[in-house]
Amino acid sequence: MSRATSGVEALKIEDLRVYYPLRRTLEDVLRRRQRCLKAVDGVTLSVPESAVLALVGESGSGKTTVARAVVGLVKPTSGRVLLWGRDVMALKSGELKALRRAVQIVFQDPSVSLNPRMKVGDQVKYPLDVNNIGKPEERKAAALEALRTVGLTPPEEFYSRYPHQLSGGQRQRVAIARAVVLKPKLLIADEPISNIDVSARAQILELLRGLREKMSLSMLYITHDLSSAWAIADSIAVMYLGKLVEHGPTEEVFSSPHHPYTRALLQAVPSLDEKKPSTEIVKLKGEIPDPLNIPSGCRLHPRCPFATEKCKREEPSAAKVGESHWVYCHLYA
Amino acid sequence: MNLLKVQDLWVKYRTRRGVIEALSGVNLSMEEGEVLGVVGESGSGKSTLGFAIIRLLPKSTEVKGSVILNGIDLFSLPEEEIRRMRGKEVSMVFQDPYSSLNPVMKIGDHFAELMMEHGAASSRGEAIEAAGKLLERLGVPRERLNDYPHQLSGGQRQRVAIGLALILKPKLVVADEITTALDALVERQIIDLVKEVKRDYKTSMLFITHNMGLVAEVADRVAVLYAGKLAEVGDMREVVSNPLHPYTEALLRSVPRIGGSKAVKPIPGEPPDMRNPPPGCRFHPRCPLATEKCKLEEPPLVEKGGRLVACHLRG
Repeated sequence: MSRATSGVEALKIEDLRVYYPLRRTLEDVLRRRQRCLKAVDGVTLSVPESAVLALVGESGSGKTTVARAVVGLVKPTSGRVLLWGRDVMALKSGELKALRRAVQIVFQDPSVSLNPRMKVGDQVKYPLDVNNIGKPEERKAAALEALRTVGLTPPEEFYSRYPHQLSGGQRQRVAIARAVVLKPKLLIADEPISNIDVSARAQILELLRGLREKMSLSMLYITHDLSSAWAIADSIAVMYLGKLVEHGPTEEVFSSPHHPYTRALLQAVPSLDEKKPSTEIVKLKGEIPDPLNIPSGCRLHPRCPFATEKCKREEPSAAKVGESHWVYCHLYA
Repeated sequence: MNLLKVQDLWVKYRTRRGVIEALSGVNLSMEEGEVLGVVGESGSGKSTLGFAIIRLLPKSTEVKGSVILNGIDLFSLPEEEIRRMRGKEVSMVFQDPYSSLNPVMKIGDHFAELMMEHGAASSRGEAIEAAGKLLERLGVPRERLNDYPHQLSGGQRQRVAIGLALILKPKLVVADEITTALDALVERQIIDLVKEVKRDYKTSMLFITHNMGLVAEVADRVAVLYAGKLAEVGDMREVVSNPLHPYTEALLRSVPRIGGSKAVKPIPGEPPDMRNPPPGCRFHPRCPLATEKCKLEEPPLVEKGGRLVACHLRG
C-alpha cells in the first residue's frame, strides 16, 4: 500500500499450493479417495517493491493459477500470500478490501475480460463505483485520466465507445486503464500480450514499461514469451508442472541458464540472428505430461537428457548458482 | 519455369459490414525446392494468399488475377480438377491441426482415405504401411495410426497434419501459422521438423506467419505483406540484416531480442480498416518517413539490388 516501507516486498508467496479437486468417479468413491489436480505445488517467490518479476512457463505450468491466487480468485490449498508483509488470509475483510484495491490484474484476453455491452469509459470507471471512491464527476474525470494514461486519446472520444469498436490492442489498453484507475501499487499482468496482434504487442509492452516508471508499480508479469520477459522484467522465475525450476536476475538467467528446462526453453525461441547457442543444446523428450500424473522425483526427469536414478526418486531442492540465482536440479546440488 | 506464379491477385470478401479488400494486386513467384516466408499482421492478407493458392476461398469471394502452379492456371480449372490436385499438387497445413483431422476417424483412416482417393494406394494396408513409415520419420510412433485425433498430444496432431500434407508428395505445401497454437518447446520441435522436411524432401513451402524470427529460421526468401499489398520481397538474411521498407524495419525493431536492447520500438498506430484502406502508400499513416507523395501516390513494387520494394523513398 502507499505506506509500504522500503525493504518490504510488495508480494511474497510462501510455499503456495493450489489443488483443484476433481469430480469423483465411481472408482474414487469406492476407493474413498479424492483426486486433485495439483496446479501449483509449493511455490515460493517474491516481488520487491517497484520491481518486475516475470513468471515464465508453458501452458499447464501453473503460472496463471499463481496469479489468480494472488488476487484472490482462487483459494490456496496451503501456503501464504503476503502483500507488503501482510498475510491476506489473516486479514479482516475490511482491511483485505483496502489491500486488494492496491493489487489489480490484467487478463490475457480483453475480448473476454471486458463487458461487450458496456461503454469503455464506464468499464474503466466501474472499479471506482464499486469501491465508492469520490463523487460521480470525479470518477468520470479519473476514468478519462486513466484512458489518457494508457494512450487512448482523445479520452473523451474513447469513453463512449464499445469494445467491439476497438482493435485488440486498444481493448487491452482499456483493460489496463481499468486496472490502473484505482492507482494500484502492484499489477498482475497475466499474458497481457499473447492474444493481440504483433504490432500491438510492442505497444502494450512499452505501455507497461512506462506505467511501471510513472506509477512506480511492482509487477508480476506472467508469460510464455521469453523475449517479452527479457524486455520488461528485473528477475525471472521459471515454472514447470506446478513448481519452480529456476529463478534469478533476468540478465543472469538468460546469459547462464542452468536448469535443463530453462535451457531448452531459451533455445526454443525462434531467432532472427543466426544461431550460435552458448550452451549445449538440450533436447527434451516428448511433451509436458498430464498434470494428473505428475512424475516422481524431479518432474522433468522423464524428458530430461541428464536424468539419473536420483532424479527419478528425489525431488531436487534449491541450489544456489549465483547471487540470488537459484536452481532446482540435482545436477547442481 | 517457376513452380508458382501469383499474378496480379486481387481478393475481395463481401461481408455484412462492407467489402474487404484482402489482397490488392499481389505478384509473387517461387522456385522449386524453395521455402518462401510470408510475414504480416492479422488483416495483412497472408492467410488469404494461402487459401487463394489452394483455392479454398469461400464462393462469395471476388477473385481476380491468376495463380499458376507448375504451368497450370488454378483459377481456370473446374472444381473437380482442383479437388484432384489438392493434396497431390498442393496441400495445406493449418494453425489448428483439428481443421485437417476428423475427430471420429482414426489417424490411419485419414491417410487411407486420402491415398486411395488419389490412387496412391490400392488397399488400406498399403496406405497404412506408407503412412506408418512417413509418420515415424516425422516423429510419431506408428501405433498412433490406430488412435483418434483426441488421443494424440498437440504436437503429435500437428505432425500428423504435416504428414497428411506430405504423403502424396505435393509440389507445394502451404503452411499457415502452423506453430502459433503450440507451446514453446513443441513449437521448437515443429520448426526443427519443418527444417528436416525441407532438407530431406526438398518440398517447396509457402510458410505463413506473423513471427519474423520464425521465418528467419526456415525460409530462403521472405515476402512482407502490409494491408493486402507486398511491401518487400527478398532474400531472408538480407531482409533481416538490411530491411528496405520502413514497415519491415519497424516490424523487426518491434520484437525484443533476448540479449539485445530492452527498449522495444513499437510501430505507432493501428493497422488500417480494410474496408477503407488509406490512399497512397498504405503504410503512410504509420510511417516515420512519410512525405506528401506517400499520401497521394501508390508506390509500385520495384527491384532494388535483387530485392523488391514498394516505397517512394527506398525504392
